[in-house]
Amino acid sequence: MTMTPAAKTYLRRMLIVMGAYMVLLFGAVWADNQLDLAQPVRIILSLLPVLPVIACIGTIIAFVRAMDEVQARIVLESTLIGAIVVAVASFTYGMLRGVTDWPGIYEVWYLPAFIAVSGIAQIFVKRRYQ
Amino acid sequence: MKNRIRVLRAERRWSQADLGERVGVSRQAINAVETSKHDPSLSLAFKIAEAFEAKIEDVFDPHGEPD
Repeated sequence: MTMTPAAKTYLRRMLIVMGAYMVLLFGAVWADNQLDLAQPVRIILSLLPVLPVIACIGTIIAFVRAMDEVQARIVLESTLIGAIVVAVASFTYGMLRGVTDWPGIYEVWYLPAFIAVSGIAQIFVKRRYQ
Repeated sequence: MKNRIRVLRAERRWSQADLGERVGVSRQAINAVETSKHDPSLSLAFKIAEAFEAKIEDVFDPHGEPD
């Protein structure tokens, strides 16, 4: 299967962004573990890996805009399902936590959960249009 | 929305991928339109009609129920 020029651009940009993310993440963790840093520096370090993630937004939007209308519809429906499932699940869990002593969820897991649920949803949404 | 894409393609011996290439969309998009799982945008509907050198109303029937 050949890749469209938009898909090639998307893949190239995502590889660069993910590479930058890994370097900044491991660099920040290493610096935090090895160096005795002041709290403001630690805060800045913790935010550095977020920058490539923000850079992803433009890349993803450009890729979706380059898709045809059916492909874009599949991605948008899957993304909507991912957002709704994670929002409802976290809301429900939050309500349950109000009456139990269940542990809180580390916020950093919301984004991977959203990406995972959207990805799984895409498999089923895609089938609807086949 | 009913359409005659399958018949028009067959007359020309075009695959879904052939038609997709002519109108600039994926084979999957043509399949979704052809099987009435996706109502095309006006722009795509015109492109498909143009590819068949037909009028849009000769390809799509907005009042017809899909098979």
